[in-house]
Amino acid sequence: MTVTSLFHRRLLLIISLAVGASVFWAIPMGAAQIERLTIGTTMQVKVVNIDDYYFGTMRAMLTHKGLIRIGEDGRFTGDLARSWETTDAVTWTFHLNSGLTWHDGRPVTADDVKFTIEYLLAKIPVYTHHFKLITGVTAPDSATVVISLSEPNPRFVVNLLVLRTLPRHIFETVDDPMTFQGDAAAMGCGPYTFAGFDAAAGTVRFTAYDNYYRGQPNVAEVVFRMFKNPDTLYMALKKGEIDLPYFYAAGTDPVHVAPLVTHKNLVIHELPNTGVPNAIFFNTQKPPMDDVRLRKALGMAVDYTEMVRLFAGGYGSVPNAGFVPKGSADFIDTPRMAHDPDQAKKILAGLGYTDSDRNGVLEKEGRDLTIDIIVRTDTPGSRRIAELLKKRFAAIGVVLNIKPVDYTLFRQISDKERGHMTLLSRTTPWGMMMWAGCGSGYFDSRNIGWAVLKETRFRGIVDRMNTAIDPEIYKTAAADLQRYYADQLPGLPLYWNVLLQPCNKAFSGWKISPMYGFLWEETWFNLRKE
Amino acid sequence: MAGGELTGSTRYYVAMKCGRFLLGFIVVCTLHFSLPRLMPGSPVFAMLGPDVIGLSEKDYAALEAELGLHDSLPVQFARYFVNIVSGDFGFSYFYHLPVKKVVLIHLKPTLMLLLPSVVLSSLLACILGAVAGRFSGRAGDLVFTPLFLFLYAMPAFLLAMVSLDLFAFRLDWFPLGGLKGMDTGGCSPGHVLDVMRHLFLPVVVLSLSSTAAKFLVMRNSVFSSKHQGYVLYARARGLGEGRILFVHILREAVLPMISLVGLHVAFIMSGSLLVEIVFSINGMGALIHEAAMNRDYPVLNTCFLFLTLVVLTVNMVTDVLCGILDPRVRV
Amino acid sequence: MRLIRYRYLLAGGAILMCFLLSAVCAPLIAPLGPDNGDMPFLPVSPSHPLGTNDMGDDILNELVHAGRVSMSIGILAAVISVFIGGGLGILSGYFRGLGGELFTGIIDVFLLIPMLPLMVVLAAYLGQSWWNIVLVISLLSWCSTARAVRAKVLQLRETVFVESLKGLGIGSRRILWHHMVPHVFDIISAKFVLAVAGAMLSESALSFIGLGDSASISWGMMIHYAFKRGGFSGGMWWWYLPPGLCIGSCALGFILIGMHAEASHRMSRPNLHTVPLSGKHSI
Repeated sequence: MTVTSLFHRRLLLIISLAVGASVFWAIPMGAAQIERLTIGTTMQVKVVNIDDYYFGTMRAMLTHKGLIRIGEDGRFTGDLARSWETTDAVTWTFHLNSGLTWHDGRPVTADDVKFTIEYLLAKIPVYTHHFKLITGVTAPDSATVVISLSEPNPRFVVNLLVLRTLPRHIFETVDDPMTFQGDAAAMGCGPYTFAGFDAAAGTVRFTAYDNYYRGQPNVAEVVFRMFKNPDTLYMALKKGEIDLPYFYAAGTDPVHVAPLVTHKNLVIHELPNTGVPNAIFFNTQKPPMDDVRLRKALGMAVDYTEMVRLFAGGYGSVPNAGFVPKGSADFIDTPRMAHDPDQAKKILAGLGYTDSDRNGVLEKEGRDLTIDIIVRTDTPGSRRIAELLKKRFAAIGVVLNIKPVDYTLFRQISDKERGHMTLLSRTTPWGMMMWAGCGSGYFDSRNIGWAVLKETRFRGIVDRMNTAIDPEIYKTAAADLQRYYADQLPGLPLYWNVLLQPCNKAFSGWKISPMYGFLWEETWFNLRKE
Repeated sequence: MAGGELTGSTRYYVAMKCGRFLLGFIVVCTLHFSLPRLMPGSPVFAMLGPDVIGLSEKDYAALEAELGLHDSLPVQFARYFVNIVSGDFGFSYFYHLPVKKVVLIHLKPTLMLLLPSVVLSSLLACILGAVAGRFSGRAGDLVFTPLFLFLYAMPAFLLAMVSLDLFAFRLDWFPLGGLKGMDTGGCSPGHVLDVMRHLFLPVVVLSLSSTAAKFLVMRNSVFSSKHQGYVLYARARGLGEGRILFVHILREAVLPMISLVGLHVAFIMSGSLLVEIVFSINGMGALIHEAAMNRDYPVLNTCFLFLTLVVLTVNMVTDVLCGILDPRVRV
Repeated sequence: MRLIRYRYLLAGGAILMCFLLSAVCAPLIAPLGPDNGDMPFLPVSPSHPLGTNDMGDDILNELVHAGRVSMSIGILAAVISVFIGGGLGILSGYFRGLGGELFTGIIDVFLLIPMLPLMVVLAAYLGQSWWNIVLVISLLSWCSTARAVRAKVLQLRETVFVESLKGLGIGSRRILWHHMVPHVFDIISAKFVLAVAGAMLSESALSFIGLGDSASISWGMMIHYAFKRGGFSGGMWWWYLPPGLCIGSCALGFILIGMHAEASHRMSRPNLHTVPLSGKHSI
């Protein structure tokens, strides 16, 4: 009983917050003050349809709305939904805001939400993964949506973050959304309307929607300008042709920041990053990576201050063994990672690795201690990191065999085959939240599972997190998970960082979304220009 | 009887040619089909986008089936072959558009770069080459020959980077990339000027880095024909220097020039990926690169086929042109 | 006059001597090991004549060592390419009929193989290494050598001398080795030097788009990192310009020598139209 009442109390808090916020939102903010915000990006929009990944990112920031979203404080708040409740974590009831309209003027109703979830499940493959728990959606009245799940899941709303509600009256006649392209395919109910994609100029434009229920945003037009390389993008930034660079879930690479710091028209904002910018994931099923002592020895070979200096440009810190970055909602303090090659050598010697042929490489039973690492070639930083790791591992007598792969092959290996020994990758804030949170999805073999972790103790903790209705129970389980990471080291965080966001000094009033950084609804309504 | 024999051998010759062409076509198509499919990594992952997702075996199989990849390779090949013969190039996995349309979209910027740069580099080569050959050993020759050789020997992407840094960033004479500005459109003179401003740097870079070969051909033929009999004869007849240069000597240089221009066209048609990356242009090079990275088989197959046809056409046109201009080649 | 005739050879030779010397004496000129981490992005200074890169490594040091990689890739790829091209050229020129047709077909097919996917395919099966780059470049660059050699052999086999050798009952193998190979040697050597330049340029292009080998840094890889890791947008010309100029001038050295060889070859057979500089690949 106490469990449910606690949960109710939490819900009540959320609901009252949401209600308060929506009242605040309803106050119109007056006419737009800023004519245009130009954003430079290397994200390439290919076509205007609901499947294009980067166009989808822009839709989420500007034109479309989900049921819920993440607020500045990292907690869930309403988006289309004014409030939501559940008693058993199986049936979820969402109450929609009133006054929202599609960009053609028709009202947004619960029916649209129901339609969207069913439509996406039927038509777009990735949603079968995101929404796999959903067994049914009903719309008892035009302002209420009820979602039923196949099993209780208190963390279910995380999956709703990927929802971008579609207008039923447009899409109900569209049989294949992939081939449905153009203005109608981009119609949403957000503060901006899609105003055109110009492939020759490399721009995607959005203009403020006059009849948005919160009134007009402060920025009249938002333009994305696409570059094929970051260098010309930063040149454009220095020349003042763009107001800020933007990359989804990543800031500006520190190597590009140094020349920007001294620029008179620019200011560098530091945004917290709840993702790990670079980490090694060990395949815990594959010898010799299944031995925690070996993993720890490798962890001691890495020079973390060097990592921070070279790859975070000083805007970072030595990570904790608990993996989850400081500043995340359920962070607990765990021991710091430390560079100790001598201790690493001792551990390896204790494991029976010796350099009998004196070639600087350790062997056991006549075989060199060689570790393969899968590295993506699409991010030049990771190849540099791999080179550095190779040097540091060589210092303790371990051969690091770098296997560069392109992005598609990386996905094939990491998401499907899982035959790797280790792989080098980043984690995103959203990725850290999914599954049971605290990055569990990246480790658990039942989810993405780059560490192919199947251990009962680990699964026990994750299951506790996944079924915890009481936030306190979740918190203790999340702490246990971080202690487990620190103790077992299935993944090796190489450094933590902040996301660097340079932008034109003339703008102020930026709001920060943990998922989208500077570019989201709250910014559109708070941005000012001198 | 002799005539009959000749027809027989001609028939044999034609049959041989056709046979080779057909065989070559089938081999090339097989290659185009298999090369993309030999690349490890399934297009399914490229299609899912960058979000990390744990796919079940069932989902994966369903996606493969959707792309028509669940059939055995021979079946896929047969389908592919029948389709291209009937002119159906399929749908791009990534753009969800008919491949024909995707290729056309990317061909436009490539042609906008190609045509001016072929014209510019040919003009430069003809004029400067003729001057350098005519006055070989003098200042013009001593400056232009090493200059064009050096420009040829520099990687084109570096020329592109340096010119962008200098003329677009530091001097601010040209835009930083793209094919047009944000706020222009239609057919106004302002728009045309804007497009030309955008095209200037990439066109100049592409032209300069490919002028050397044509320049040398021109220079060498002008230089060597200066001393040949018919030129001396023309001079003896009292023809002016200028006329000799343009009528007699240019004629000599035209054949290798045509084949070089042909090569150039075929070469740029495949897109110049590196220059496209530097100048943020979505041309054929970028399309092929992106399709290779995304394992977009239909797009790759079609691009390869298209390039093959371009090369064949260019070769044919070159042969015909050379034949018209110089009957000796026809034999 | 004599000097003018040899000016390409002299200029090219002088350039190449500098590069070969610096490559051979790399340990003397650049005594710092590959791992000489200082602060990253240091500007030009007496202790680092070309500054340091994103990893804090001395750029001059890296430049000298990268020269070894770039040049060995160029030379090795050219050797393989000329070997394939020369061999196929001689065989197809000498044996006619179906063999000749087959050969022309092979050339046509190879001319149409796209470089980028081939590179990705090979890298996947052989691992991404500089060997792959050598293989890909040589596999795609032998055609022009083969064509030139074939044309020459076609001329040779029609000569009275070769006809009479055949009449004397001398075996094909002997004719090929003793009377064909020596005669095409000048074409092959001219093609070889041009192929080195072409291979170095192709390598830089492959590296630039990230298909290079990060374990052995070449000049192309240096530019790749300068471009991707802030050197270009940060205006650090001392990082990206030296390797670019090195590729350019080294390739120029080979081209000049190749042009000399081709020019003297042309003098001996003035009617043969050869297209100069046909070894550069685009991506």
